[in-house]
Amino acid sequence: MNLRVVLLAALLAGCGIAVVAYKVKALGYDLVPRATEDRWSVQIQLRFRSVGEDAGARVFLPADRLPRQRIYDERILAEGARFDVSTHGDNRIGTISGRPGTSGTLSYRFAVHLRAEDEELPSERDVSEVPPDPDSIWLAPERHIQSDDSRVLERLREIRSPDAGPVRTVRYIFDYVRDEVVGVDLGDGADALTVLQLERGGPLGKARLAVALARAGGLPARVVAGIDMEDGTRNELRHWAEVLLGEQWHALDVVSGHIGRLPRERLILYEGDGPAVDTRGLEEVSFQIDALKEEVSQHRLYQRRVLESDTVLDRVSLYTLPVNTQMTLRVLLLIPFGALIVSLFRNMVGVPTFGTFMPVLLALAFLETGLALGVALLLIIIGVGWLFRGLLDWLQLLMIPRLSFLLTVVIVIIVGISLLSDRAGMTAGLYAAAFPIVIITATIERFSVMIVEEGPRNAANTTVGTLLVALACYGMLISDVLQRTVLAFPELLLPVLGVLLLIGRYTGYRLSEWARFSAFNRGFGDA
Amino acid sequence: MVFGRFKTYRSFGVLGINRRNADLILGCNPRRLFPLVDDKLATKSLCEAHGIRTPALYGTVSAHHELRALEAMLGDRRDLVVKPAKGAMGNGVLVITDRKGDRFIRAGGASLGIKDLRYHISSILSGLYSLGGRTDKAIIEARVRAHSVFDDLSLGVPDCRIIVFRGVPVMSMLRLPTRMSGGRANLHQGAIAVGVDVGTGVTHRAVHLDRVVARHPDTGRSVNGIHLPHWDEILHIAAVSADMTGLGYLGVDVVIDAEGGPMLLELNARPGLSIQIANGAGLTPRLDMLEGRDVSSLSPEDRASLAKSMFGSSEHREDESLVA
Repeated sequence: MNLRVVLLAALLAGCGIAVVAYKVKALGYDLVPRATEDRWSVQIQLRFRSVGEDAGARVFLPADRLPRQRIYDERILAEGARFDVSTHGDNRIGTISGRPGTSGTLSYRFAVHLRAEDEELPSERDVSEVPPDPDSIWLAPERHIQSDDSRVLERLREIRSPDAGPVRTVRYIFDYVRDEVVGVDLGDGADALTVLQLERGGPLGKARLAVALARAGGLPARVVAGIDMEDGTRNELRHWAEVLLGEQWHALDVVSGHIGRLPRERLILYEGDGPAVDTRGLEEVSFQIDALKEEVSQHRLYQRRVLESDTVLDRVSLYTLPVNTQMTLRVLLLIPFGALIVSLFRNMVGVPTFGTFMPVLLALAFLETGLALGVALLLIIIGVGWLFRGLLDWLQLLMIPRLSFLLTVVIVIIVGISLLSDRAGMTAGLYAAAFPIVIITATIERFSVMIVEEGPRNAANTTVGTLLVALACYGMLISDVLQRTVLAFPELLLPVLGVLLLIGRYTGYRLSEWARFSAFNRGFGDA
Repeated sequence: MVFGRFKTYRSFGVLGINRRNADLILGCNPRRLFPLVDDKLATKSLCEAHGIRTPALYGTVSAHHELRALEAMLGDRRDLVVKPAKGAMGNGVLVITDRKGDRFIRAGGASLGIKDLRYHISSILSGLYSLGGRTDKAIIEARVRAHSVFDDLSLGVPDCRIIVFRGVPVMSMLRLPTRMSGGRANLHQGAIAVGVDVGTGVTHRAVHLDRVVARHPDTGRSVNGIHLPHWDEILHIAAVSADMTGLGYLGVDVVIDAEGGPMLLELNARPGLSIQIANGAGLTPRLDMLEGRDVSSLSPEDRASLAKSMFGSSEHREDESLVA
């Protein structure tokens, strides 16, 4: 092999490995970064049948509550219904309106990044600098929060010392509701006064009582609802109180015993003491929340370090980028590794594939869809597309309009799969849109021509080869450890370049030639 | 053992595809010369300038609107070949052997209307058969009639492939179409590859789908010991092809027309490797023999005779009498 190429490859690999070694030894990077921070994939699903005219529903959607909670990658799929999102104060409200007599599904997916808070309640002095607005709506009594009732005012006087400032008052209220009110669920209708008189109540009742007492004490307060994240399906809402101290809302969760901050895994859904879903004219309503924990690199730790560092290597670290960009880069940085696999398979093994990078693109699509489903969807799309291609052949269309027609057919197939799977109650098919549509169209065309020109066997071989290489790429791309490692050490692309140079000058036999030239092995005399 | 077999191949000097691509194509064939061989019209005009015969050109179609004048262009020709100028592996080649009324009869016996013919040409123009899908031109040219030596041997017109390295023919084979290959001389589709002795132009060993055979699967006739007519002229065409294109490593495809004799059909800057199986010999030793020699000053005639003395072998004739 060419000496220049070998030297250059060694140089590239050496540089990459040296930078990695330096970062690990001198800068203290983990070779395989740990996953610690929590990112959740959540899906809120609402199914219903519209009956009356003017049927509809209103559902609370989570909003950003920085720095605690950040919502990413929202996707809304509303089937058989109209869906609008609007913002009211701190709440985001989705409104669904359906036609009478139809069933509908609303599927709202998003990812949320939850960060632990380290704040405690502020000091009395900080709070006294920002007195509450006396006209605040968070001070006014409500139907279930009777903060102006004399019995509420009376109780507040009993539980706090007269000279207590706002922060002390909040602590008194918290201690009182947590310790004196017995936890018995009285239903969602239990108002603050009832709970106060019985000294019994469920989570919502207790939250209402805490809010009523705070408002009675001149502190803006409100009931907040959310969910505790946990892998799996949940539909149990959590309720707690929030009090405005200074400019910050502070949580008072008497059920979990948290004051000033919330349990880390809690997603804040909306502010208010009503139900999460409000429907009119709907039947067979089912509401369901599914959550799945995703692990993200410990980017915050790195980020802080990296931002404070003077080292050039730290400054150019990818951890300085926003998290969602990092998520994109994580996959992007793996594409060269996928291309490396393609090179290995094509040049050293000799596997035929449709297009050079088709397998990598397929592997990327499989990341979205999941493997088994992705392969099934792909085969369906190509199969149906091929049937249509046969039809087009009969019509004798010019090539570019024909390809455009085929492209449209592919899109219709994908839309059809999404619709059918949604009707069948499977969310899986909704991912069909992840496929590289244009490339699949070109593949259908090539596949069809290949069957005619080179025979079905070659076409089948190439299809299997493409899938095989796509699977190998998928196996690599799916690796979380690799994703995190390459994000921390993008210089690993240098050794990849080195290996590509070596493959590029590999002049030995391909594995496939083992069979191809077998006549030489058998000897030629026996014919 | 996997690697044991590779060792055997290496001892035969079998050239693998990676080595062909890296050392021969990238090393000897400058990219800028590729259009000369990838576009059959360009090859045709080169041949004309160098006095090499090619099948007579009836016409070209380079835009869709010209299809309206197709019937006028065809006139009353009864047989012809339509092919893409930038096609590969015989894709998109349509052979018309006769006309019945307003129908065109294909080589396989199927018939086409003028509309089907237009559609085929329009697919060619759109780039369906061209390398990389670029827009293309269609060539309409005379159909080659196989020389009588091939009578009742093969179904279509056989062609002769010669590998030329640095202007010297190094290995050759005859490609015989079969029913399986649809009358095309394409090995992937099931044509037979028959090794041809460079020294004499006599066939000596045949391979069908990478397996050694002695007879044509359709006609049952022995494919060994056939003496290709005009062999010297064929070698001459091969040697001149290297000069006129400037390619250091190329495949030259020659057909032997019953009347016109050897004609250059097309050139290939990336010739395949099956020729080694057909000849039972690797290309590497022959290439290595030429590597150390200065052949640049030799005339095409000298290089053709050098090829005969270097790569010809008399034993093949005795060999073939045993097999047949």
